[in-house]
Amino acid sequence: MASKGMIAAIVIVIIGVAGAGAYLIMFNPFGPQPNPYTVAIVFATGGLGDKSFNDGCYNGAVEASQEFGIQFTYSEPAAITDYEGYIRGYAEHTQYIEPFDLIISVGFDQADALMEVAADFPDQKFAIVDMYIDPTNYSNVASLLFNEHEGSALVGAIAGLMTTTDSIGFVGGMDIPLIHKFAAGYVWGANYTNPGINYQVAYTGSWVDTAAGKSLADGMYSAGVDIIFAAAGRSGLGVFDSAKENNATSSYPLWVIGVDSPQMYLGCADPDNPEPPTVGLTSMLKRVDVAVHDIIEDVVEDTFSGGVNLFTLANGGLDYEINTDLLTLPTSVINAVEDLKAAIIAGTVTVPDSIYWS
Amino acid sequence: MMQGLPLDLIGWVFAVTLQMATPLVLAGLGGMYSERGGVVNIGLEGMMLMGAFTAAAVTYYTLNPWLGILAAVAAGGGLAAVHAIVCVKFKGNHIVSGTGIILFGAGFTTLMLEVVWHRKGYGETITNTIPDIVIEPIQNIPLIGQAFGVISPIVIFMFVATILSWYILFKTPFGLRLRAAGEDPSTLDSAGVSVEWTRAIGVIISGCLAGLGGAYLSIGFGSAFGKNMTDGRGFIALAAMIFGNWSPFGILIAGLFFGFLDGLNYAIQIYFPALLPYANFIAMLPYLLVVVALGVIRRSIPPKGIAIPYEKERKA
Repeated sequence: MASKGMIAAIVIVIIGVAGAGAYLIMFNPFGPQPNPYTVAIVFATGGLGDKSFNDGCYNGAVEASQEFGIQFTYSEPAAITDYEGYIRGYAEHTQYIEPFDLIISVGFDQADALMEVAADFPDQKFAIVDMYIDPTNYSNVASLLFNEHEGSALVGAIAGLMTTTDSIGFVGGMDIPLIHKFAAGYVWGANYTNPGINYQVAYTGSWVDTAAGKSLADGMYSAGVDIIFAAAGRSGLGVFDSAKENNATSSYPLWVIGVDSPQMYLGCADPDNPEPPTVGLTSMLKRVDVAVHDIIEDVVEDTFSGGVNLFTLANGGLDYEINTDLLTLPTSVINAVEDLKAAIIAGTVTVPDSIYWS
Repeated sequence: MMQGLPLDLIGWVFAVTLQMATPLVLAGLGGMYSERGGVVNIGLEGMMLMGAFTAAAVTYYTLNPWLGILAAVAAGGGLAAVHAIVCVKFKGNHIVSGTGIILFGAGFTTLMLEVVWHRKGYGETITNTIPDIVIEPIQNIPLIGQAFGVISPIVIFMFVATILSWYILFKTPFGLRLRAAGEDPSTLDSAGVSVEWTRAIGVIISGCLAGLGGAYLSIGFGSAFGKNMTDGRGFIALAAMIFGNWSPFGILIAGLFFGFLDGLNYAIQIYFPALLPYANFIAMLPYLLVVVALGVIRRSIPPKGIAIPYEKERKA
């Protein structure tokens, strides 16, 4: 038997809950609010902190928000299956009165989810980084694409000139066409400056497995490779680890080429206080920050259009890292790379964008 | 293109085998302690992440990797204690609790990563990791020099732990009680030994070993904590435990075998580029071989009382 006190307590709780419910229904403080955000970003599953791809997009959004005085919000899905929920949530903007001006999907694997949502919300502007979505069916989606093979050719050219063992390596994240663009440009560039150079290509099969990246790099270095281009997300950080360790006992210098963001500082003994020497030779810069910044600018200035926005060497969407505080490349190498860059921009040479050997 | 001798190549594969096997064997041995006692432990992944994070964080603050290892063992054991309380004391469902442990380990370490290092995804580089032991006399011996000449103390401990586990499990009263708790708990109970405590201790030991396996990834072989850096190794460790038939040496051999397949995969990618188009197939081989081995070669026999909460005087 419940005591009288108990019954009284239950009645009080019921009255309290009912009162709160009535208040919510009458005044609704949690209903749709004015939308403080202009842009919503759904990041790739690797999440922020990869020091390259997602972080680059984030930096571009921060730059744009400061420049144009706008706000942006973002989410970090944990799995591919979560993408559609986040994108649809932003498109429905149930908690806000006004919709977002732009929703950005980061990463090629969001394409299916984005197409589902974009078909249901034809007036919502979308952008996707790293994937082509057909503008005839989805005129509200801008595809932000990069000629990664052009940037990779530049760092490949540097590798071809800087190698002392005539043997270079490539560690990719996954064996997929997007990563093949990096590998193809890199090997082509190395052959451009050093015809017939030996090369090795391997994949970690994961974007987060630093241990796999390190083991693969250990193997390549012990096989006589002295420069590795790591295009493997966080797995690539293991390549830096390996280079630092093996460099201590190697009779010739070992190098790593970073990817997407400037990563030369990661090759220093203490990356948080970068000081020479570094094992980072250069980095292939894929300026996702430029792409995100530019597409936000388009929306702010009302010049947004669906379809392909291509970022190339010519429009600054790709480049290679020079950080003379940490390492100065020989002038002859810089000159050769700048010549190649000019030739690619002028169109006198064409870089292959898929594996062209077998 | 191959510059090194074939012997160097094989030696390197051996080295990778040890590196990749160590976290698997340690976590697999942990799983064995839990399951031999009758508690299913699918939460190894969460406990490994916990160990990996704690090792990196404590080393970051104290600059002493050995304290980091101790803390990792304690943190893994602590998380396992939660599993033990849920499964043994409150007789909860082992799989549900284990799933909770995995999700908690992944979420908590991701959150704390931001709290400790004020950044997302990847912590600061730990400069003073566990130092490798250099054994000069064997460093230049072909085949084994690469693998054993410069070796992490945790790798050595993997072998010690295997022998020790065999001794504890089969030669000590505690081992006998633990096995009884898993096979026939009512007999253990009638002998006057607490089934609950025996099982709880088994679960906690499993967390300690899994935590150590995680610590090897963050401050033994690697040099930083990254979000979800165990990358499913806790589940592979479970497979190694089942493949190894819940016995210490079986788990050691299974773990080394899985590690060897990793090494083989890398070696093929690097040295035999002609096989590169099949890289994904090669990466799949370990799982395929396990299924074949389990299904065709022999059946694994789990402890009889596994996943059944013990209740006194229950009618069978």
